[in-house]
Amino acid sequence: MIKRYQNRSIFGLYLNSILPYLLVVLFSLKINAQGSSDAEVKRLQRTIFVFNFAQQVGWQNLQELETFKIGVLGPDRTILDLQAMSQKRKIHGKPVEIVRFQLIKNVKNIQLLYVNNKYNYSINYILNKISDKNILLVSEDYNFNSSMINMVNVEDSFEYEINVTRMEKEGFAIAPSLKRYAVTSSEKWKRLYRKTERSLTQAQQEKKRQDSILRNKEKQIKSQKDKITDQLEKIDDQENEIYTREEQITERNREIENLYTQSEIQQKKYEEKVLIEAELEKNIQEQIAFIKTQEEKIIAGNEEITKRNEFLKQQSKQIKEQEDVLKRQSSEIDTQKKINLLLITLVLIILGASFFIYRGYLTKKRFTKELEKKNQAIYAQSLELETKNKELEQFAYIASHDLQEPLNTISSFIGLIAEDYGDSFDDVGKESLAFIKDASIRMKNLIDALLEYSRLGRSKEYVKVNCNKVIEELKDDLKNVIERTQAKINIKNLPNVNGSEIELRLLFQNLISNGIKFRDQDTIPQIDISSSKVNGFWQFSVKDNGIGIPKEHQERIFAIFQRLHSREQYQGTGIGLAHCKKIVESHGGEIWLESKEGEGSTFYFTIPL
Amino acid sequence: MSKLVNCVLLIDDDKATNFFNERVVTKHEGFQQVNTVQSGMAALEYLSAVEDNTAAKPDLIFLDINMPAMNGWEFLTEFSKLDQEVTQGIKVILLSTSSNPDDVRESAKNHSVDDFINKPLSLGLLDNVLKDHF
Repeated sequence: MIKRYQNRSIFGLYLNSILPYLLVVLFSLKINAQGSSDAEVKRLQRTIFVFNFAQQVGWQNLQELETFKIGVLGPDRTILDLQAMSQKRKIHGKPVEIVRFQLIKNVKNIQLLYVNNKYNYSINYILNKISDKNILLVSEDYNFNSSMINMVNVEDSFEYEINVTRMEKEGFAIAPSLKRYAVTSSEKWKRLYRKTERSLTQAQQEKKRQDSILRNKEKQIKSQKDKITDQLEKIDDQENEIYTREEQITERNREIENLYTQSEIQQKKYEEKVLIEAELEKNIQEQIAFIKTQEEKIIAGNEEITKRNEFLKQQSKQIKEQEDVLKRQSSEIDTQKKINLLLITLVLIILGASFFIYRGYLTKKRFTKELEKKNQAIYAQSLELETKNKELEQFAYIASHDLQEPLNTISSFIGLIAEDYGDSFDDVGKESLAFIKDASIRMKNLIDALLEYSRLGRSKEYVKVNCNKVIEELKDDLKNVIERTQAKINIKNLPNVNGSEIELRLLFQNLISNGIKFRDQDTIPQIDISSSKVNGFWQFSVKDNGIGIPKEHQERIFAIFQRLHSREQYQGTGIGLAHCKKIVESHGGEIWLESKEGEGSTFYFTIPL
Repeated sequence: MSKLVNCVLLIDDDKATNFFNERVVTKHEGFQQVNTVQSGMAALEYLSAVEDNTAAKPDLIFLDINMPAMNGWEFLTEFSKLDQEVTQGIKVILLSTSSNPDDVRESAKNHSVDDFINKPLSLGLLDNVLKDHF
């Protein structure tokens, strides 16, 4: 009996200590389970709303699409709900595909974009980026009228508003039903918020009430616990009394009986609580199982993603390899191109060079041809000139030679007439005879001079001529004239020159004779002959102190039979200087003079060294 | 035939030519007086010395071209520079041995020259001169 009581008291102690904790756990679990299922419902509702929006909006290119694509922006878990829904429902009769985007700029090739404000994407930037791409933007918790369709969680459901203008601008057709249930102004939103606030306040009050109830219950439990403690103390007392007071057992048994009944009730309460606990546990298990399946799904999804990533990696690897091959090939092509370019340049340079060389060659050839032609022409001309010259010389020679004969006849017969009949002529007759005689003598002289002139320059047998010696000999030849005129002839160390001695002698003779002849009667002639080397020539000068030659006549004095004075004044045929010119020029030199009237003349001539 | 020409001036450097020409002109009845000079310079002196309207003023000049110092052309240049009163009424006829075509061409161009005759002078040629120029 006592043992039994003891057992009971131990159980009672255990119960006393565990009971409050169990109650707390139970309560909190219940609240969690309630919250969890609410969130689930909300997520499902959101998904349904999104699908319904899609169903009530018309896309222009809907027929062409194979699948209806919904994009989710950011690390939003809503994608899982949408994916789950896409297994069950189609949109506009097309299978639904859900895509995630992390960056706004990547958004494309979808029909609907869902974005929640809690991921802080700029609504204007999104609108800007998806403009004209035929994408319907469904946003959540953004400001009124800032999106196309903006949905907001109100209490246990969602409300939404639509920006009709923007949607129509993007080319979407909107079903009337969509418009009908949409919130149409910010005022309504405010009202809705107030409603929500009210219900929140109610919920808070309810919570407070619940809390106070809970606190009351805790108090009750505590008081009960206190009572139990009191009772246990009493039991102790009573047991003590049993020990001390065996006689009062019967009475006390009744009391024990009462106590026993009490503990039975308590046990019953405990069993009920265990049952609830089990139920809760089952609930938790279900929740865990649900989470597990979700996790498995996530894992499966991750595995799929990993696989895809690997596939992508492989693909990119292959692409990289192909790029490498392409790079190699393109570098080879580049090299080939460079070589080709170099070759083309080289060929062009060679072509250009050969063109220029060829052109130069042609020009040179042409010039050479022209030169040859000119040379031939000059040669022909010179030949012609030579022939003509020879002919002229021949003519002059023959003419003068042949003229001499009749002239000889005339002069001999005049001599005869003068001798035989001269005395019987009157004065005019005698004078006429004298004129005829003079003329025939003059003619003989002229013919002789002409003959000599034509002979000059013919001899090309040049020898070394000692000019000093030539002039010494000339002085001897002109001894009579020199003595008569007392002429002084000074020679300044003359050179030996290459030439015809006879012609050079005639040259010096003419110049010296002229120097002596053309003087004033009362002047004693003085002739200075000198020479110097000038530019590869011997330049001789023959200076006299004679009458000089006016500037205007200096040219013509070298012409044949040209006279500046009458024969009465100065004798001579007028061929002397013509002879000089011909001699100098046939030796390859030049002749000229410097003179002033009344101050003497200096004749210069050159003979090649 | 009346005496048409009062005075003739012969200009030639050759004495014999002058002697001969003087004889021919004297023999011709159309010419009253003959004067000879042996160079252009002498002729210019003669012309500038002779008084106007005297018997010595020539009506006709026979001019040789080929002369030393001053040839016929040079004389004509100087002649044209003389006072118009002196040269007025004087006919100038070139009398030359050479029938050099250059001289013939030049004589046609020269305003002072009235005619060109080849030597030797003869009575027939003088007849023609009188017919053509007086």
